[in-house]
Amino acid sequence: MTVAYKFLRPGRVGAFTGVQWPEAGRWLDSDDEPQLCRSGIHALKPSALPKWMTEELWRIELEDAHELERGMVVARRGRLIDRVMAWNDDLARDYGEACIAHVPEGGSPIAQQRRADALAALAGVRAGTPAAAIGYIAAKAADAYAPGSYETERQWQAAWLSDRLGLSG
Amino acid sequence: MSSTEITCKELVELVTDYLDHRMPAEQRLPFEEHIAFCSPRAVYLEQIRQTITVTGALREDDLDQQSRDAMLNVFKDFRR
Amino acid sequence: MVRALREGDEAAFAHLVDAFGGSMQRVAALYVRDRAVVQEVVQDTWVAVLRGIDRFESRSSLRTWLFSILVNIAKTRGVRESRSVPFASIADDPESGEESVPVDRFLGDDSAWPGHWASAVPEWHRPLERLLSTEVRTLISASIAQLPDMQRKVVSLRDVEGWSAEEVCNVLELSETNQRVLLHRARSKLREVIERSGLQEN
Repeated sequence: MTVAYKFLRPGRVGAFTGVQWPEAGRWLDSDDEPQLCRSGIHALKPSALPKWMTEELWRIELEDAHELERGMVVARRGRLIDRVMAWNDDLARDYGEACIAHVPEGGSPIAQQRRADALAALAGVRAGTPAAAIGYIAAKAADAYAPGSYETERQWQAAWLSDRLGLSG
Repeated sequence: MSSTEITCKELVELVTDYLDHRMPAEQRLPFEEHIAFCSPRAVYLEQIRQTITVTGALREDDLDQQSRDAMLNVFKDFRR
Repeated sequence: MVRALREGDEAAFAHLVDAFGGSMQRVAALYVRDRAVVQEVVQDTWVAVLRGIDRFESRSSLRTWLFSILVNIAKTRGVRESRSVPFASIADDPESGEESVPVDRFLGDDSAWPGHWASAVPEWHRPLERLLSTEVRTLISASIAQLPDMQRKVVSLRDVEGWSAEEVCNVLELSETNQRVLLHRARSKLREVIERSGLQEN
């Protein structure tokens, strides 16, 4: 048994599949052999959270899980454990601010432009894709400032989030 | 920089590969990672999906009665 | 089904007509322009099916066999017909690079976001159920008719008739890659048609 995390749309709806997840505790089985981005139950290790943000964050239990690249986990069946209520619009805002603050000011015109774009995106930030976008924009700003640092920046963002949410794994 | 980042411009050319399950494994993750937060991409993908659905609806047009009768007559003539 | 047909079961035949008749007309129309000739192609196909049913081996499906007969007949009639009434033929080379979306909708290489959307993709506000209206379907149907020949055939067989990629590649004698390129171009064009029509708004 593996515990991992999953972002869902409001009402426990899968972001890509549109599948309605049952209430916590009930298993959901997939028909086919789990294959990255194609079939099976997909979930995330904390290191991958920044890239997949939606409105609801859940803890999920998986049976026979395989860990794949970039913090992705796939399994044949899973069940939601409980919702991480600490992930909400307020935290999304804090997250956005932290991401931007972590990118140095100055640097090339492109670095500055990207940082400014991240700040502009902060205005309407909510727990869904806007927060995800800010993380991306900020990481790209960091990358323009220090080429090659995109993934490292993403890892920093993931660690910040994991820490604030008290996640394990 | 992430090892494979698919730009929006590249994405619009890859949509059919993705929907046909013909996208190479190493592209799928970067593809979906970017759809996850980039609204225009997600919107574009969804519009292609809807276009396919509308196109498929053309299949529902019923065979008109006259054509149907003509076809059934083939059978009747044949059996004579 | 095959046995019922061999035994002269009229109900079985009617069932086939209902299942395939509409599709047969549409597929024949991919090759042949004249409505009357389309009907002839379909009728000739039914005759060939009835004549050949005794020899039909169930190795392939009845549907595949039936449509391969149809396509052969349609192609022959289509060639004959095109000598007098050619389809508009626009160069449709799968090898040539052609963009699905105009280049100016993306930011250039000198911007902070090369290759990203220059502006938001306008959302479609009409819900899907209402996009399936007669108006939109008529528009799509007309637009498909105006596509370059191979794009028209691929998108019709794949997305209208619901054939698999493999079936389409076999019938149209295309590689899988070429088939996908053609399908992609057709779909992009149709998406754009809907976008520009205004019918996707409430």
